Amino acid sequence: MKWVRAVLPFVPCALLFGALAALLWIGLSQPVRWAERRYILGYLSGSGQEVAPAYAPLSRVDVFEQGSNVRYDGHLYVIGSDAGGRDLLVLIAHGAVLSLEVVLLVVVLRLLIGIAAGVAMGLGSRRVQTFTTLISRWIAGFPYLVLAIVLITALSGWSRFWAFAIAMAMVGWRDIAQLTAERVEAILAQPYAEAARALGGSRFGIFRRHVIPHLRPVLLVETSFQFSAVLVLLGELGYLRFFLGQPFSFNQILLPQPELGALLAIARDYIISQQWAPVLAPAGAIALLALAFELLGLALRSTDRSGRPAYVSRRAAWRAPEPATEPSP
Amino acid sequence: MAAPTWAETGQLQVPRAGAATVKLVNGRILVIGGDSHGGGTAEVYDPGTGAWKRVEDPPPGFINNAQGFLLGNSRVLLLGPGSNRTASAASFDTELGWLPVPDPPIDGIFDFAAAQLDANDVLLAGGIGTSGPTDRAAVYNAHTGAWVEVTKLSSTRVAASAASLGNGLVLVAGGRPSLRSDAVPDDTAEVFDPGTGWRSAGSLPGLSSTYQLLTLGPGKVLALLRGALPGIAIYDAATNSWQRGPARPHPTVGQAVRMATGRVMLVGGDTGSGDGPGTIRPSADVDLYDPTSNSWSSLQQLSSPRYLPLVAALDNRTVLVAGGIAVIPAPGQGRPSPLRTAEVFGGRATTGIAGPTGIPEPGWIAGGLALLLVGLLAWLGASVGRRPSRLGAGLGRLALQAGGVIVATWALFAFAHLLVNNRSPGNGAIAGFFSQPLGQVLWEAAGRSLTLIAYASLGATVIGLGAAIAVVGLRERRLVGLELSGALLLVIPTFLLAILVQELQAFIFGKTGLIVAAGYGDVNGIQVFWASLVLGIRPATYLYRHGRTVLERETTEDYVRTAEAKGLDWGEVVRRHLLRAGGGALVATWINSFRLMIGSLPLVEYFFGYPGLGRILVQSIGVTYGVGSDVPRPVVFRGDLAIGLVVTLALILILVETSAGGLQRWLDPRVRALRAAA
Repeated sequence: MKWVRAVLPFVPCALLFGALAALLWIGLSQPVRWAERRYILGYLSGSGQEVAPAYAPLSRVDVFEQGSNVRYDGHLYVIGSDAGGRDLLVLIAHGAVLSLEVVLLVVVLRLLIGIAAGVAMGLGSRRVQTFTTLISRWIAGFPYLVLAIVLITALSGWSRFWAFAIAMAMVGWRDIAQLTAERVEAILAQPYAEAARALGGSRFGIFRRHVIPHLRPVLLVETSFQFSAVLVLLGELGYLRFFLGQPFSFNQILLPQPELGALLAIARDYIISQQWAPVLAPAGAIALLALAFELLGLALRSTDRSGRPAYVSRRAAWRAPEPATEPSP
Repeated sequence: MAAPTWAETGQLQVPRAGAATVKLVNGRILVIGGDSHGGGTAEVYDPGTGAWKRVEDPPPGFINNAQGFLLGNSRVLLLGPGSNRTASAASFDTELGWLPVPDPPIDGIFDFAAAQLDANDVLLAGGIGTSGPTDRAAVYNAHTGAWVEVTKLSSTRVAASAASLGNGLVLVAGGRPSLRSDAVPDDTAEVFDPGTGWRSAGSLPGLSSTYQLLTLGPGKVLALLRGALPGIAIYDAATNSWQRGPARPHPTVGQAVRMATGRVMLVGGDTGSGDGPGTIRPSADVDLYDPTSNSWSSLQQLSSPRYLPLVAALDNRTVLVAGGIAVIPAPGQGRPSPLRTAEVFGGRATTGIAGPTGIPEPGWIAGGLALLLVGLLAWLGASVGRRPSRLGAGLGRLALQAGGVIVATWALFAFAHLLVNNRSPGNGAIAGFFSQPLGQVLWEAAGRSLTLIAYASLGATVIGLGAAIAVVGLRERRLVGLELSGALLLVIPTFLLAILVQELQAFIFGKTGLIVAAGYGDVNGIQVFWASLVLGIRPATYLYRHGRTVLERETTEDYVRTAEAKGLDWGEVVRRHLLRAGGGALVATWINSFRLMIGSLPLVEYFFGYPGLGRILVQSIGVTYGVGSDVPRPVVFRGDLAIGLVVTLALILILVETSAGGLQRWLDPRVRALRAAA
């Protein structure tokens, strides 16, 4: 029954990932016109009652495509439509693909910067340690959303996509750096690391043979939490009207490119006009994806025995335990 | 004493004619639209400096024929011709910019009549709907932010006029029953009473040609007439009748404004018949009507003829006139060009040169570098030598951290400002606080934010730590359910929590009719309650999870087993041993939750429109409440303000971290030992 105990923590996140993947597949298998065209007039299938968007969740509607006036009978809006009559599930599915690409890139960048800084803080000379710690503290003094917005605005002239990637990477590497530094310090204080030093092992050799193998499981857990944090940050930026793609108007309901953040950019307008589904659907999608990654991180951590060293590093003593579970950016 | 005359004042940023004009609560004048070439813009006139300043553009569609009303919540409700592509209502807040408002239930309105019933209610009646001329009417309420359809007019009215009777009633007069040229003119009027609906308000030959209604006082309204029977007519609610007034000195169809003295000034306009192309002849005449003597007098002419100028009363004796069209080209000779010039009657001449916009001042970096230098010297001085001073080193580190934040912030904003403003110099949203002194803004905003943080932090600490202590102290398996809800709450984005809170508010309103929400931008107890609730939920969850981990880790220590072996009650063990030993780590957890709170502050304050450090910071870097536009808007950084706000937030964080660090050392002797060893 050992394998059952090992697999059990992964069941909730596997179920959630499975459900989300199924929804993604359903959304992506629908014709893309449901995310691109507008369907501003419809009749409830069966009753023939005239309805206008936003169409309610689980409603089956005979709709007319604006412009061409082509009629599509009995389209099922699983989670409703936006104010342009477009299927929210299809919009979210297409948006999620682009968003997850950005999230993946950001997580990779955060890991690269964070590990480099963390190794410098834990393994570098006194001066390097002081310098990286100071930089990390200065970054921490900056509200993360503001830092991201300023960087996105400043770098958007060069490339909107890379502006997003760099800005979101710059606000979240500190946690990874702190975690890496703590773990490096803890490992270097272990008897086997001291023995390797006494035997004349080089810094790089000790790092490669002793530190990296112990860092891997911790960083795997942290990567999962970072996915969750970056998704939440993407949603928050979207709500503040910072998203990938061109600006658009609420009244004209023209989304040039569906993206989870962009779908939230007009959330306030929907809220004011008391239309909840177009807000809750993309926000819920972000929250559920984030929850799935969070659960995956928790499951990975529960199987990781290396995260409980007998030695508590000096830096770790100053921090709260298990800082990696913080899903803030 | 010399008779008042017209004096030049600052020029409009955009040439305008036929713009909507509203006097704001701060005495400034907001003008919207009237700029067919500009695509619908807005600007504000400051009577103090005589300067015009562009504000955020209104939503698309508000170019001409819009009407604005100043409501009791200090916001402006703008009504304009709508379509299925553009909104027909929007709201302007001096601090938040343009806010969306639900469209009136009468879709696609045009040529409607609108007037204020009272400070918070605006009536909209008649006009042309999607299915032609309409007799429908609706009332917008500023408190609920919603429209309610009310009793219909007695008949359809297109291009009628409306004015408040001053006692919660509105008079609607004139207009035509349909768009057809052979339609019989409607020389009747009717009064809307929110309690009883519409009732007749008499009639007068020529009343159908009313082009403007002006409230003279309680129960009295002045109608300006054009067409075959021009002149003025006065409605008296006491007798429910109309009477013709004295003839005007000049036969113009001008724009009228009621001054605070009760007099009415009629400015510029058209001296021709105004019934077709080539018949409009702009006028420079100015007449004054005195209701007490029921007589007209002429005033000095404007500096140039103005057709469809924007007119606004500034105070008792001063009137602003701007824009308009001086020359109407003959048919086929091109489009008329509106003016940019403006003049003030009874005021002094002003240049209208606006102050500089906020480029980050180099003083910031000088201050930051000085602080860095002082910090470095203090730290070195305190650390080197025979008797190192712990206090000196601590203060040095504090100065180093603060100086570093200032320098880093300045560099970042200067960099962003350089890139952004070199690309798109221009105008962005302005807000009331941007024109105040920096120190005052920071002081007031910090006070508001600290209030919010204090409540949120108190709630989060009590609930989060309380739950953690309860779970560990009670050793109750059923409380493990808290763990799952904690995981859920921790990954729900802050804005989603805020949306859910708004849904809850809407649900309570729908079920009970109770308004439990505060308006955007309000500063009151209700706003602080909801905002601090949203701000505190995630930190509370964080505190619970990590606080529980800290306490449970302590339970595995030898001294706990020893205490239990001695027969001590578990509650006693928790109180006397666990909490004391875990105190230091709990403080560290609390600092992290506080950092989480500061990080979310801009979003939460922006969501609720709460004018604290976070919201002003977000707005100072170009984020607006605008309701969207196809055209990307230029971003303006209020550099100094943004730096000041970031530094203030960072200082709050640094001070809290430093004091919490001291508390941690005092609580946990192990940390003291580690520190001493270091």
